[in-house]
Amino acid sequence: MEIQAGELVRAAALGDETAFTELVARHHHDLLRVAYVICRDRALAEDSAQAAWAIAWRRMGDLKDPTLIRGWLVAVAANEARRIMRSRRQSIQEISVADIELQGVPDLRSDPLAAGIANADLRRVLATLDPTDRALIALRYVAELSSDEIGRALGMSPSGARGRLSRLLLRLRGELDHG
Amino acid sequence: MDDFDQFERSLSAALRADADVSVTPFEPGAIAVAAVSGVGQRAPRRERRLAAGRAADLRPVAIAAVIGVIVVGGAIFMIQGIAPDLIGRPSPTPNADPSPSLPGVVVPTASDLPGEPTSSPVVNQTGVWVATGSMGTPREGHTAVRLLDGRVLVAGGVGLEGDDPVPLTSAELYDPVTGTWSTTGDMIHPQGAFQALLLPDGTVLVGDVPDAHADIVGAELYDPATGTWSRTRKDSVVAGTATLLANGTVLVTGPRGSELFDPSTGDWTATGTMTTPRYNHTATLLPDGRVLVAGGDVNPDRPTHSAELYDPNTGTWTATTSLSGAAPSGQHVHPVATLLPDGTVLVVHPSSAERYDPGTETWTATTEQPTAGGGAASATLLSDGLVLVTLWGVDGVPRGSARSELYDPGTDSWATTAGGSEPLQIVPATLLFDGTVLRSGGAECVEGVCLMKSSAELYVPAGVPVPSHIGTHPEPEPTVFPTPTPVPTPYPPAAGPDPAGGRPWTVTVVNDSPEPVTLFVAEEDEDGMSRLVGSVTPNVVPPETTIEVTLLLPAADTRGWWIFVNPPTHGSLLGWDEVPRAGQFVIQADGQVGWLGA
Repeated sequence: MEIQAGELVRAAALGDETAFTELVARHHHDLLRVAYVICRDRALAEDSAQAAWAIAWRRMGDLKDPTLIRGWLVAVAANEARRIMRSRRQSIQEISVADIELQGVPDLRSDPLAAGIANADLRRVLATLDPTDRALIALRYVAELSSDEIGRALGMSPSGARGRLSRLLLRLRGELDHG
Repeated sequence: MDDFDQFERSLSAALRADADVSVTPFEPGAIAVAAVSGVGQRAPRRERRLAAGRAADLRPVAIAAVIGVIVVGGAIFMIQGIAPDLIGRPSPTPNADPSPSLPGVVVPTASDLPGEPTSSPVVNQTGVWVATGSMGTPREGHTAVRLLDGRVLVAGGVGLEGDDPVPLTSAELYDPVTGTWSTTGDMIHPQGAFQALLLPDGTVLVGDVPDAHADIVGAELYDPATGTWSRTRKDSVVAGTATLLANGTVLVTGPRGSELFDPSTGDWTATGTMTTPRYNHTATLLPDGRVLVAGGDVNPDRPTHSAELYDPNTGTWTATTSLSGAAPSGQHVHPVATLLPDGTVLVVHPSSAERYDPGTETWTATTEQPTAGGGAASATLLSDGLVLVTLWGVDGVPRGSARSELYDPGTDSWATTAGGSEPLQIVPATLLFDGTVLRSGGAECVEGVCLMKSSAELYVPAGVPVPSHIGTHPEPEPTVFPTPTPVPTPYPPAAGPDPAGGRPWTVTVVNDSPEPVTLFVAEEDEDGMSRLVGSVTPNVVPPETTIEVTLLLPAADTRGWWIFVNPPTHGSLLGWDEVPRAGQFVIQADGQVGWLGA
């Protein structure tokens, strides 16, 4: 019988490393996805996710409602990703190649819904967004958090998060929706 | 489902699919162990448990966000974090003090200097780093090249304009006779597409970037005779590495292809594309005229160990044996390379150093470097046949106490050198005609805050006379890290209106921080603008004070307002659906804001 999230969180908060490892197994993929959307770099995404788990281990006891563990974890990962992005100075050369259409990376997408948006277009547009906008996109469309959760995660009011997301979506649709 | 819903679903699927391409299998146990051990945690900050007799009911999400806001808002300089895998490493030992000799006196060997002993029984004649004159402009990420007359041209890079990093177009000249710098003409656009290359006619070819946000790179020529820059005829060229070929043309090769620049005509022509297009690679001219390209990144997610050869006679690329060492994940480091006197090529990357034999097309690892695991900023063949490898930190943190190493190709042995500063970014190293090596600029970081440097230093190999100007320059000004400007209060303290149907709520505010905090009750529109909709009396809580404040909250059926606590700029602490409630506002000594529920 699968252990409930609440039990895992409570156990991990008390120092149970086995329970903590189970949480990692369940949620690391989500953290990586969110961090990757923000960082646009696998290694940085892994760094962000690892940093998030270190925070999670130290602060697990602060989570009042264990059922909110997933939203809390992805929010921490998103903020770590933003912090890492702010701290990294991109050389001009790195900026100039960041928009280059990636070559040789096979399109492994199996979800037919994803076919509506060209991979190269998505990467190009994401590269033009700042880390906070990418965090909004990641938390809403990858982690599927609510505007309230997103607002709290990013230090915005929910209405601020909704408004900014709305404007972002209009822009993304204009640049990506060719269908 | 309307079109907009369909777009949102497509966007969601596409984002997941895009992210999943980069996700590799992971081991939860390893991640958990690392997290429990503290790997991945940030530079330590003061944390104080609330002295409330029970576990803090602080919202961790808000805390994480506030930390981010405080760091960004309160610290106006670039912040660098600590590489996650460096936790637990011993602190670097202090630098050995260099012992500058009298001019003209041969530099003592490292065994005569205090500090770090050499590690190799064979390479025991290491030189020393000494300070020389400072540049006029602090910079890092710039390019440097020795001119025909022995001066060194430094151009571009990144500097600070106020608090913001900005690409530079300025250029300076270093005079090795006097050890001083002078300004020369500014580049037309910031440098960046490829590094500076001295051409046979004495001019310098440098790649530039007209627009850092667009996909355009170009090239400029510097004329030392006039101190001026001009753009080459073609507006857009490839970016990558620039290598002077035996026939006098320049091969520029990168992820978007390869081109040849003919200095005699000023023309650019396309040539063969690498079998594995890449950037951050090394490019080395071999004795037989071919060019060896090794390592680098195929894309931000994929480093490569592959290597290939360019034949200028045919304009084609051919794959050769790949490097055997692998770059550790999580690092963005560029390998460096130099041709050795025996015709082999030394390539240094974080995990190892290897030598490539063009005759057999094989790689052979060198003996272990003293600082294996660090990043190399440059590899310079000295006039005595040794190779000076300068080191840097990864993500702003040095990986050891040594700043540079010497490699002896003849005995395949390594040693660390004494002295030297700690540029934590990749800065160029330039061999001068007198046998010394010039290194300039970089960044100095303290507790994650970095400032560019203008200082410069010379590596004086053992047996090489110390330049006569050494010791005559004023000491570089110590880097002063100003106290971060406090985040200004975005809203003036105001008690606020008494709302119709207002509900009084008295709550304790514990301000343990050294700064006053302001509370207000406000609505926030989608543009983040606030409108006070309730009052707080008193609404300013002095530092290190605990008081009760009385809020007049809007009527119970109102929505869309929050209680804000300064200094978060737009962060809210409690929303309309969460108050009134029993508990305390707590502002910790380090400025973290939270709610401690009863």
